[in-house]
Amino acid sequence: MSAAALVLILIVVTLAYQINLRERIELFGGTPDLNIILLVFLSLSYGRGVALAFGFLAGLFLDALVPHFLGATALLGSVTGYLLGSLKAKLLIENPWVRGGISVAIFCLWEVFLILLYPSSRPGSFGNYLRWQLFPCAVYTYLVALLFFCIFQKREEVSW
Amino acid sequence: MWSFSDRRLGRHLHLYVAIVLSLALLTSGHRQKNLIAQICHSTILFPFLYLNETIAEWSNLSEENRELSSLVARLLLENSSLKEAKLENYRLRRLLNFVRTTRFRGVPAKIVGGSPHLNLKAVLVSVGKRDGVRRNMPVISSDGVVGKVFEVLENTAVVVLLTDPNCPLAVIDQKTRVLGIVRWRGHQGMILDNVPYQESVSPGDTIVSSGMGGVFPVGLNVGVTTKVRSEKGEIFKKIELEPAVNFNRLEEVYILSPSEE
Repeated sequence: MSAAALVLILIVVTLAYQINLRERIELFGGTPDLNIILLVFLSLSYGRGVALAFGFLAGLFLDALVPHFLGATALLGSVTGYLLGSLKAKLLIENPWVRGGISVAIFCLWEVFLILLYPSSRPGSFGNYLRWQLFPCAVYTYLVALLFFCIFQKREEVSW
Repeated sequence: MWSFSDRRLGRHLHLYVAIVLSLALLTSGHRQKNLIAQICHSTILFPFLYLNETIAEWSNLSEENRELSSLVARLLLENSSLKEAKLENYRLRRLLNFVRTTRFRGVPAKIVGGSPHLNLKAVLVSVGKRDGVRRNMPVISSDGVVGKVFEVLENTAVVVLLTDPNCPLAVIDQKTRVLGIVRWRGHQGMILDNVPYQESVSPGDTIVSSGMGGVFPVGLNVGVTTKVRSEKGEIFKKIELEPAVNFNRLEEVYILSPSEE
């Protein structure tokens, strides 16, 4: 499968998940961020070019859902994908636990960046936000990322 | 000629383009943002948004189905009660039209119970002395003669039916004008008695009240002849009738009281 086709398919998957599924699998107020998991997967498996394309396009379309944030996720996605993809050869991270950890770290960084960029978009106290939104989302993202990377690492090994 | 910085720029060109585009989007005005979002909504995001709407509709379907089922049940109930009201209205209108053409005043009454006497084929109606009902007043339905008032209480009255053997009625064959007496005779059902064997009465003739008994007005429908037999040595014909009124389905009746005009 060509890289362009893969990016296209994963963008469709991300949009379908984000628009059609995310709200329906909420657990304790948290939902996993599939966009970041896929971005980490592409960065560490396919390199910076593919990750950049995916990060930018998926981010752009997700931003379009709420025009106020247009460009923010695209910027974060493209920069993160590119930087992480550049480190692929140096890091050689294959452990799913570590890949999951990277996904959660990126998720938290993005959240901090978005809060700094749009402080008014997170009403209420920061403590409450941390406890009731960020924490459950981070845990949920980590668990899903772990599962995802376990499955896809095995497939990579088999195909290898 | 490529310098080191040129090569570096070329190597990261994609990233710089993405950053510049993202920053341009970030710093653009609301109108531009909305326009771009609108384009995305009507093209790439449309199938997902449409799917989301469909899923939401489907997930509401079972609840909606339950609500509609309950509504259908309620409406069916309402519909059946309206149908009843319509039929009742139809029957009462027919009664009213009949009553208007006679010199009697009709007192509408509902059947509220069966016979209070074991040996009497009768029904209890919802009107009594208070409504001007008196003993022996004729009682009719939209189909014809029902019987007569047998006993009057303050708020109710007992109406003896034509199906009681002790409630004879003077009648006339509407076609041949032959007089007779209708009575109920046990297993034979309703019979037309006192018709001499030489008189001409055929099956299918309509029998109406003759007004000779002094209780019922002339021309009230009583029944239709079904069997006519003349046996040797008998003075009267044996004639069986199909009653005009179905006595098992009585609901509303009119008690005819003489008009004061």
